[in-house]
Amino acid sequence: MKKGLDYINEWDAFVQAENEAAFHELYCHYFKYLSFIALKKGFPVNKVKDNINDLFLCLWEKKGQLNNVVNFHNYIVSSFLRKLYRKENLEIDESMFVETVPGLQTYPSVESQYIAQHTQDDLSRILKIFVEKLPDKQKQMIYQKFYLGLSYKEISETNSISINTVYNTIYKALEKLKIEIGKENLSAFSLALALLSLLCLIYFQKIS
Amino acid sequence: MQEKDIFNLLTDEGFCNYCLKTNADDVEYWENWLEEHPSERENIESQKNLIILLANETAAQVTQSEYQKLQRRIQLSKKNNRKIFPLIMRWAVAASLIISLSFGYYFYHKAQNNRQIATTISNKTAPGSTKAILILANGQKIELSAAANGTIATQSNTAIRKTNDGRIIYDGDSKSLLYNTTITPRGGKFDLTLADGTKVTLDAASSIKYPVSFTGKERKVEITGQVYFEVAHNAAKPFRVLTRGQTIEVLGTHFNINAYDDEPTIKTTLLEGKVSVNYLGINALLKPGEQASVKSGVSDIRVKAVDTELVIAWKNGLFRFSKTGLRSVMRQISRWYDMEIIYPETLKNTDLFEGSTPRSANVQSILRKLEVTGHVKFKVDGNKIIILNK
Repeated sequence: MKKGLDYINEWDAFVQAENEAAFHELYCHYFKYLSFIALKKGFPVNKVKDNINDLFLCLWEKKGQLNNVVNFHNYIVSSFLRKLYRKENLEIDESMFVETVPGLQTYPSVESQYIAQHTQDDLSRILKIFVEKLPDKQKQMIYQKFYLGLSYKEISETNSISINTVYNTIYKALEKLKIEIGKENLSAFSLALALLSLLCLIYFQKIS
Repeated sequence: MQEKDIFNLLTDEGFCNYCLKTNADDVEYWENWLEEHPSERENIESQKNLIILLANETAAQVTQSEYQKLQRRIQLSKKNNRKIFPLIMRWAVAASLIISLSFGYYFYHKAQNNRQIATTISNKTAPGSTKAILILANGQKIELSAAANGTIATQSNTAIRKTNDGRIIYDGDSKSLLYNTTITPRGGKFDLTLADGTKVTLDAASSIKYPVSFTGKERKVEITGQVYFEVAHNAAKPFRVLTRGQTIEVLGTHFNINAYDDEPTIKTTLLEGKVSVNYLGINALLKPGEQASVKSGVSDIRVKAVDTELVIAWKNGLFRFSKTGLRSVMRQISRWYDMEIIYPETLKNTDLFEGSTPRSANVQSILRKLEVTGHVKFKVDGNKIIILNK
């Protein structure tokens, strides 16, 4: 599992050789890491995404001058927090923060890689196409719910919608997925079953 | 089967937490549940797999679409930079010069006016400063921050001189063995030069007892709290530091000792030269960059390599943390700002703090940084810092 400072090679490749692939790797990691931190703090989702891209645009433009950054992880997270809070009129002029964010799973975990390898191609393909076709809002919420593990309440706050709308949106998305899997006539009976109970689960939670 | 489905439904949040491993209780609960219902394992596993696959796929796509937006902005800014930037830059430089000059002038005047007011308002939360008390061999106490510059006392043949920058220097060669003690209060820090030229810096709530002049075969001092030494080289007279039952023997070197009573271990860190640490009959020889830790009453010395910059950050006017727990952070804050820390009955915070911040800031601004970055809240009440779970 890779986290924060394990990306030192990517950082070096980016800073010293302006390697775009390394920049992409860093982006993929920190996009999730930073959005987790900020969404947990209740910042609106659009502001969070804008600030992450502002930060990476800065990094890209300053890449030649980043050689003297001692701890890049500190640097990235503190620059991000500064950007995020500046607009809230909150002063943070120094870098200090937690390296280990409790609650954020580092992906891809060993387990999820294992699962991906042992899943039928059919299912991976269906999932890929399915997610591609999802409207942005639904994609966003599935990401927040199932990847970042935010609670329904947190999702409703960060997207400024009601908890009910969050339930419904996710429910609808999963229902679509069930139909897609059904269409393909997958023999993965247990998967369909799993999905069914997932649907019920959301449904019941909504009424309870 | 039916029963389990409904069961699932009601505990969705917990089940998600189990899949994502975001909550130890939920993971434990589901693992126990699986132990008891082995026949359901396959079903539960496939649910879990689906959630993880869906999560990964969605995360990858969401990230990718944001990355494409970023790429477009990078392209755009490349184009714009070439055309507009130089012009804007010229104006921006001119404008910012004018603005900063006029602000500077304004604040300079304002500061002049405010200086008198500011000194009369005492602020409990201000940081520590240069202050210490000197206890002479005859018991006389001298407050060093208040003492005038120049010779402040003479004992035997040794003069004690205070320099313009606030250091205390011992000059001369007395024949008799007289001991002085310098103590810094909480919120104080002090620099001192001993009769042999050894430079000593005391952190807050620390002390050093030393002879006015080193007459014997060895140079022996006793310390408490945290002290940084730059020992003057003298192979003929080894330098010995005693603290909480530990002896450190030196020839000529730079090192730091952290021996606060409320810290779990005594830490001796070597920056240059060579020292030997002795505790309860055990010896350890340190190389530069190494740190010896000793636990009170345990006859064992642990040696490991450390970041020495981190250890002596206090001497350079910084708080520096590297994977430092909240309690350790708060002990340092408590000593420097002379404040009492009140913990909640059960402290939920397990964050490790990382980063640095100047010790010259007031306590509120440091607490705010900790709040922003960690899962903890503070309330300042008089000279108490009350910690609340977030």
